[in-house]
Amino acid sequence: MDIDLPDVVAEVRAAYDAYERALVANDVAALDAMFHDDPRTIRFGGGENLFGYAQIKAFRAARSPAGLARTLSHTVITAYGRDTAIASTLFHRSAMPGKVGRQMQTWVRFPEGWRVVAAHVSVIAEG
Amino acid sequence: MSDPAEASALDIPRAVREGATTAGAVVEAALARIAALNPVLNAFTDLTADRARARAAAIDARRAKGEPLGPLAGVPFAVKNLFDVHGLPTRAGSKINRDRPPAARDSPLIERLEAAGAVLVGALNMGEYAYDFTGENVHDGPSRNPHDPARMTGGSSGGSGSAVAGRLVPLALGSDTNGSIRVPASLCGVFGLKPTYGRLTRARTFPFVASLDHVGPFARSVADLAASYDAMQRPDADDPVCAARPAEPTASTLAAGLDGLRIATAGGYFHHGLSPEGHAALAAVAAALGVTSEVAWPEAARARAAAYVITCTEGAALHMDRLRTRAKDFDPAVRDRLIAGAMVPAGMVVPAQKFRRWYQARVLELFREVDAVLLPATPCTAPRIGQDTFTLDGVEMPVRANLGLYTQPISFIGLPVVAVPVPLTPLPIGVQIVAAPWREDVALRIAYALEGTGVVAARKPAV
Amino acid sequence: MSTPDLDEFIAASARVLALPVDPAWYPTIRFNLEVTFRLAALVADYPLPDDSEPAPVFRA
Repeated sequence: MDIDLPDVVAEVRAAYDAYERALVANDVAALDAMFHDDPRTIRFGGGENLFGYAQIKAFRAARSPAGLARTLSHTVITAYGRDTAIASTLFHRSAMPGKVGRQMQTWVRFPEGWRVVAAHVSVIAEG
Repeated sequence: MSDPAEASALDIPRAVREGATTAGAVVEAALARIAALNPVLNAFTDLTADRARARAAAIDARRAKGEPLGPLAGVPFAVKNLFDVHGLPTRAGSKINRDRPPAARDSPLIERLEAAGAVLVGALNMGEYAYDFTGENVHDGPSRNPHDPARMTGGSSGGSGSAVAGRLVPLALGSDTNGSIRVPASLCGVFGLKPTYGRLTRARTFPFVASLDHVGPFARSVADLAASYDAMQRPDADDPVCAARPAEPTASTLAAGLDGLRIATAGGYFHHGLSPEGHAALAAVAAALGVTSEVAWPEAARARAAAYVITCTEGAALHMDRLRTRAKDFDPAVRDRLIAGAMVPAGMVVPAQKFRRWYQARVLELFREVDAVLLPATPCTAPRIGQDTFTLDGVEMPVRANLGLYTQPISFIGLPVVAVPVPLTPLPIGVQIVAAPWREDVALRIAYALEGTGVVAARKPAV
Repeated sequence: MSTPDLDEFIAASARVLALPVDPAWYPTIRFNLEVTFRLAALVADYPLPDDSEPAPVFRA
């Protein structure tokens, strides 16, 4: 099995970047489109545990659009074979001084394109 | 002064004050250098030699009497030929404007620089009516890149980039609507400042797009850029867009260093179509600044599209009478862009202005998280004059349409930008340091720190 | 938009605007219009609410 095939990494990177743009702009339609529409999709968010696409979609619809901008660092995308990739990143927001956020996503290639099947976001103290 | 051509806008006043040279000698040296090199570079379209000599003599007389000299005493400078220069018809890169009566008064930025002691030596070549990213001009000929005269300077402030890179003058003024300072600064390997929209007065300049026009300086060092900017910035009732903000001098904080500044890069749109040289320049700048953060810049492609629609329609509206009566005297390429712009329905323009406000709000949210963002300035290094396409990853891309790709979404909302030159060989390429509105001081401070590492410099060309 | 449609649009607009347009200029004008219309469609695609304010604000 090949790890980090360049074309696969590039595809996932593009999808990941699109997700990030949608996230900071709270583009709910785009965010919904990037998660896999399935009851097995799970998102443990910063303040909520969401089981299944329906719960995730409801969360997005209700989320306040304010204060979503953030800076990313130490972004790592690793592709295992051609159809699976893990994307992890740290993030900072001026609204959470002294803290660092962590985001991990599992991306899988479906016939309709790359989709997130599992995600986890949490915040810890920095340093 | 060892090499007068290399002398900066701070070296010269010091030398004049100390008596090491005279303003007259500095101006003669500049005029001689222009006479020698302008036939190759074609940066200048007009020379104001008599006026310059008279001004220099007046400065030398002041010094002889022990009177105080301005911070830019004796510094020769030139202006894009859309600035009003007393006694010259304001050409704006066109044939048609040559029939205008001579300007009755200098533009205020010329007045302010001269009040600081600088000396205007002439006016500079530009793309017709500023609707250009190449620096080519069908009436006056192309301005040429000092790093390789077979290559374009970029535009529309082509002569400004060429004159400063070619060491004809240490300071030049240009204008920037969608990239016309930053593109030539990048391709010619010099520093350029596009300040915040409304910071520097545009009074007595020939316009292009009122919604987007900015004016600003070119120089070979950050200190020179800051000194000229500081000499020019303050309100002006003659430009309704010029903000009523008091001057916020930047020279004193230039050397403050990077402590406490949050700087990030942005990829996505700003990496599409970027050449290996562009990537290398961005990486070098980010590494020198120790930048490890990234931000997701929102809707850059749409912002560029909206800026494009506003540009072509406002630009066309400005020229309607000229298009009706003097169509054949335009650069045909400019003419056809303007005619098309005249035909675009208003229903397409209003949404662009509405999107602009939405987009501005999103980007300003970003600037709560960072103090500056690093972006490429141009997709590629200087193309050859007349070149229509460049190849990237085996794909042919049109030159003209793409030179302003990364600059347009930024000027669209008037953010201040310092374009810094990375002296790659054989050709330089620029990087944009973008700051929050009214924070030119931050962008200049970062540029100054960068210059200190040697990663950015206005490298001397072979010419 | 088809070339004949665009050419009709150019001709009619030129009459309305009293702009002399040489037939030889049509291909370039058409090309420029196509680019502009495509970019305008990209802008229009973004759903903005009715009450979104244009960027320039007039003060009485």
